[in-house]
Parts: sequence; C-alpha cells; structure tokens
Amino acid sequence: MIGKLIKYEFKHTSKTMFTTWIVLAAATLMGSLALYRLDQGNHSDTTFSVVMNVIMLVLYIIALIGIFYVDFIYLCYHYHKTMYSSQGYLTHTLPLSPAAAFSVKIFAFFIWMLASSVLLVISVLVLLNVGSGGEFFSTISTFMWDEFIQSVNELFGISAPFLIFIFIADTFLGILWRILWVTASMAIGQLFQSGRTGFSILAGFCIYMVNQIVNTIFLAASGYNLTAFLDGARKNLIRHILGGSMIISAVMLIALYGICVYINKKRLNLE
Amino acid sequence: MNTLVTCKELTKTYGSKTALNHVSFEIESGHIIGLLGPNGSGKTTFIKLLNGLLTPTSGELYVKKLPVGIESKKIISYLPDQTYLNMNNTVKEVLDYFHAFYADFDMERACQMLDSLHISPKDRLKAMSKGTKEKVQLILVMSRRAELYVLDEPIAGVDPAARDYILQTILTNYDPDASILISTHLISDIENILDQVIFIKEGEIFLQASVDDIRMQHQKSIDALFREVFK
Repeated sequence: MIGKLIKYEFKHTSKTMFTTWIVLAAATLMGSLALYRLDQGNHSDTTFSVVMNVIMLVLYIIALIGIFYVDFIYLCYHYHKTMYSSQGYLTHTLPLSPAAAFSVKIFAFFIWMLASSVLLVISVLVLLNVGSGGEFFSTISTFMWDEFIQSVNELFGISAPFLIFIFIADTFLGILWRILWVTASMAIGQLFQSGRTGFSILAGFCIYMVNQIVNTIFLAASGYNLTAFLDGARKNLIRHILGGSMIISAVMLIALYGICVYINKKRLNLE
Repeated sequence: MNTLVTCKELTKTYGSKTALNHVSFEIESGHIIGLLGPNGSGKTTFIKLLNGLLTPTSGELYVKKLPVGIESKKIISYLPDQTYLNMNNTVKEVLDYFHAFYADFDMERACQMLDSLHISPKDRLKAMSKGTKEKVQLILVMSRRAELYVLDEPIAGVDPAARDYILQTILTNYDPDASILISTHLISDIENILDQVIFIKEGEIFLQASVDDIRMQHQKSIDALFREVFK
C-alpha cells in the first residue's frame, strides 16, 4: 500500500517538476550560449550583442534561483492541498496510517528537492565548463587532490572525505529541515478554527526562532568566539561545531517529524 | 443484524462551540439511515469523526468494535460534501487510483455506471460540469463493495433530474447486507428510500427510530415531522 502511495505521489507531482526542469535545461543552454559568446568575444561584437549576452546571463541566474523556489513552493502547495485542503479528504480516508501517508509525502518531497538541487549544481558546472572554454572538467581531473586533502587537514583538522561527507549530510539535513519546518508549521496552523494561514506562518516563525536560539546556545556553550578562532584554536572548534550542529539538526528534525505525525494522527482537524 | 457503528458519549467542540454533545447511538448493518438535521446541527461533524477526518474531544467511536483507523477505512465508503478528487486527473486515472487503494473497488461496476452516463474514461475532471463531477464521485464511492456507505449531502445543490439519478444509483448499487448513512436536510427527496432516521438537533440526538414506527406513531411523513421538530 505504501509503495502504491509513493508511486501516485510521484505521478501526481511529476508533470510540474519535469516542466521546471525543462525550463532549467533551457536556461542552462541560454546561459551557456551567452557565456560562450562573451568568452569568445571579438571586436566585431556590437554593444547590443554584448548587452544581450549579459541579459541572458542575468536571466539564467534568476531562473537558477527561481526554479529552486518554484519547486519548493509548488511542493508545499501540493502537500497542503492533499493533506489539509479538499484532497485531504481522500488522503485521510485511504486505508493507511496517518504516519505512513505523511512519511510518503515527505519522502517524495525530499527526493524531488534533492533532484532539483543536484540538477541546479549540474547546471552551474556546465556553465563553468563553458565559461572556461571547456577546461573546467579537465582541470577537476588533474586537481591536486593531495594538496587539497592536506590543506583541509591543516585548516580544519579533519580529513577531506569527512569534510565532503559533512557537506553532503548537511545538504540532506538542510533540505529535510526546510520540508519539515513548513509541514510542521502547516500541521500546527490547521489546529486552529480560523486564521489557519496566519497561525501557520506564526508557527513557522516560532520554529525558526527555537532553532536559532538552540544553535546560538550551542555555539556559546562551545566557546566559539572570533579571537579563539584566529588564535589557531579552530581545529577542535570546527570539529566540535560541525558535529554538534548536525546532532542539533537531527534532534530538531526528529522533533518536527514527531509533531507532524502526532497532529495528523491525533489532532487532525479537516473542518 | 450486526452492529456496524457504536458511539458512546461522543463530544466534539470547536473552541467554545459544541458541535456534538454526548451523543450515543448505534448503527446496524442492512439499513439505509437518514442522518437528518438542519445546517449546523452536527451531521457533518459526526460523519467526519466517523471517517477519521476529525478527532473527538471526548467519548468513544467504534466501527465494527474497532476504533476509527485503517480497518474502519477499509470498510467505509465515504462521499464528502465537496469535491475531493484531483481535478487535473482523467476519469481513468481516478478509477485506477481507487482500484489501487480499495480492495473492494469493483472496476467493472464503475465502468458500467460511467458508460450509462456517457462519461468517457479519457475525460478530464476539470472539464466537467459540477453535476457531472458529483456523479463521477458518487460512482467511485458506490462502486466499492463497502460495508458502510457514508454519504454527506449527496443531493444538495443538484437539479431534480440529477437527484433522481443519484438516488437510483445509491439504491441499485449497494449490497443489501451493507448500510448507508445519508446526511441531508432535503428530507422529502429521500424519505422514501430510508429505513431509519436519526434526527440531530444542536449537536444532540433528538430521535432515532425506524421510518415505519414514526409513520405509525406520529401519523405523518418524515418530512412533516422534521418540519415540526425543527421549525
């Protein structure tokens, strides 16, 4: 049953998601073309063509940022519509536990956003490659990895693979955090009889503030200050902060997930 | 007769407003029951509680002796008082969706009913009129071989011809061992198909009796009694 719900969840959202990715592909092509022409620029170029290339590059950057937010907002809208609005009547009367229905929606949301993020990175890499006259990828392959590993170790006191792991894990946690932040806000907002949008926004603000306060307290407790950092005590500090931040993020995610499941199971309010 | 639904001292409040106030009654299998009351009397609240779309403030609600949950959702076929389908879908897509999730969904029956209305599986819901969408939704709900059909205001806001079709569809497509709970305030249109009625007034059960008993005791139609009680 869960497998079927996953299938339908992806099916119902795929059209819009693929459309935004096609737009991203077109924007990447446009940006690459503009960058290539600027890179290959010669004296015969008119001011008009230079301006056009710059405009195309600006449009590419707008599209790059815009698509990420469009995808996120669309998936938030889809989540709300199928959980707390008209289609919620169907979702919540399927023979599934509320936790299963919620988890499937979060899973699909996460996979789509992860895929969007990866495609955005690929788009930037393609542009960098074009901008460098096709040398970017060949430079990567001859990159001085030994020097990089040594530098990372000297600077942060951690191995390069661990830094890459932290970066990837942080990306995953960051995407999940945004999703659960929004879904928990919606879940809390729907507990109220009226002004649900307003209460959802207020709940979102409160969750954000709690996260900020917890992180600030943790940084203060870690003894983080700029003087110590500049004095060379950064190795332990960074290890400490990286590990601690991830633990805090994980705890916050579990708490938000718990809030969502509890409300959908025990306090559902589809008036 | 098996008891399908049992509610004991069921209460639901919205802030300071009490929608259901210590309601207790049972619904047995094999009946068509009218849940009758004016707007705001608590009919839809009860139906949403029965379908797990709301949680009670206090009291107990069981479907076949089990709390409302996955098992009850397997045997209840619910028609809400609003459109709950994805309007971007085609009729075939919603048929497939119901077939995938409800083990008791009878695809053949659904296709026959759609065919009789000349609705093509390729038609997209958003291109349909309001009345046709409601008919499609009703067909989906009545194509399940459920033990309890819960229909919230199925004839509200539709023309008399559509009402006739809806009532006919309900009558010809339910299993005699199943029960149907119909919520409405349009009594005259449905009283001929009802076995039992539950009058709900300001969140409390005012009357639960068989239609025959009411006619015998009060010497009047359900519609006339309703108008007297809720005047």
